[in-house]
Amino acid sequence: MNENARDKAVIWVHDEMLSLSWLGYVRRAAERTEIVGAVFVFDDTWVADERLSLKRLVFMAECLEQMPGVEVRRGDVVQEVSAFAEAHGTTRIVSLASTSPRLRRQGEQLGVDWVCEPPFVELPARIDLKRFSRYWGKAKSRVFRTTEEIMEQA
Amino acid sequence: MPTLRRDFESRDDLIAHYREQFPEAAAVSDWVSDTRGGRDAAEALLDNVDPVEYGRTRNHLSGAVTRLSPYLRHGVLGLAETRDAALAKVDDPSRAYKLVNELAWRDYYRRVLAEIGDAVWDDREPYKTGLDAEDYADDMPDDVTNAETGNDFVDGSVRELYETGYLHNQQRMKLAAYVVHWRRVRWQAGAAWFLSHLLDGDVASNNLSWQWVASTFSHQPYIFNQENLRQWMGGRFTGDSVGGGSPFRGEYDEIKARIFPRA
Repeated sequence: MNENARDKAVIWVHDEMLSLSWLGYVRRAAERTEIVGAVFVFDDTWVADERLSLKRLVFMAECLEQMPGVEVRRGDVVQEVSAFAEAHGTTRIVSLASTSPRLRRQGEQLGVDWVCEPPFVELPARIDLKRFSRYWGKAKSRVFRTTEEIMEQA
Repeated sequence: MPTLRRDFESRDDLIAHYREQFPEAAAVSDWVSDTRGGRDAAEALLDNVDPVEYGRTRNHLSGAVTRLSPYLRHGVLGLAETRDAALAKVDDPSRAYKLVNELAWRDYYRRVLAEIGDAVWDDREPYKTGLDAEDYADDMPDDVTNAETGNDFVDGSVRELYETGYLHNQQRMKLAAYVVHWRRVRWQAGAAWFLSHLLDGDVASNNLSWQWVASTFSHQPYIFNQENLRQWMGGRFTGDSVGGGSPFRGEYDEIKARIFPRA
């Protein structure tokens, strides 16, 4: 891979980041990288597997309508995002981190550089998640702060 | 051609394009919600959020719920951003307690999903109903999915799910409890059915909430009776069935004896 290819990247817009503000956020996080395009792919396998109804696709399409500059495709996500990156002269793909196993698998196949969203709450690693009450016992003293305050204390 | 249009003249134009592109999705359900996608709609709803009223009335069908869930699910709004907006509306953070607590459920479910991945489709724990997983049916009953049970709450909620892609949390919990406990259907079948239709459907909040109702992710099953149903439905649903009976009638002990005979 040549240096030019590393200096450029495309943003993979997935179904958990359907706001223009994430594009600016990912762009700022991927500093020293020129963002040369952004693409969203309606995942044919997901639509079929979860038997998504028309209203969900319309809702997502309306979100994308308010995200000018994002190319909208359908098909196989890995194939389409790779082809989009290649057409833009890069192999580097950046996106917003997700806990969805489907998105994580696709991101892994694409070699995505994930950008984490601002923390809702900062918690110790490996907290007990067996019940919400255990999570809340740790979270409640830390979550009633603004993101700015949380970031200042991080 | 894998590239979709994005230059629509109107909402009808957009809908027609997607209906043509995804006939299989239109075959699942051809309804389109009045809930509009996009950041503008999300910001308008966020402006209207009243954390104090939300805390006081959210369990009522006519309460001051936010209807932000489709936007949170799709990242049109961030969780932290929404919390910040809620805190900015109150003079003391404690006045936004319930709203922040509910946002925390979403954060919690996402964290659980990060830990368990695809196992979000497996029972986290055994049922605490006196029944084994094998005692539950694998598929949704047709009369439920066709909104033909004859019960006003069940059929009305199913129609609302199909037409709007949204249900109030009380309707979700009670409809899920009806499917799993009254009709004895595996929660996975109900969760998959909801994912098809909810604008906010995601495997974290959806599946783990179904597991909470089922008791595979909680200490006990969630059930309700007709009195409880009427308390929250604001007169929209009675819980009565055609002919005047109701599967939800009775004290909790009587209902438990009927639906959990081996407990």
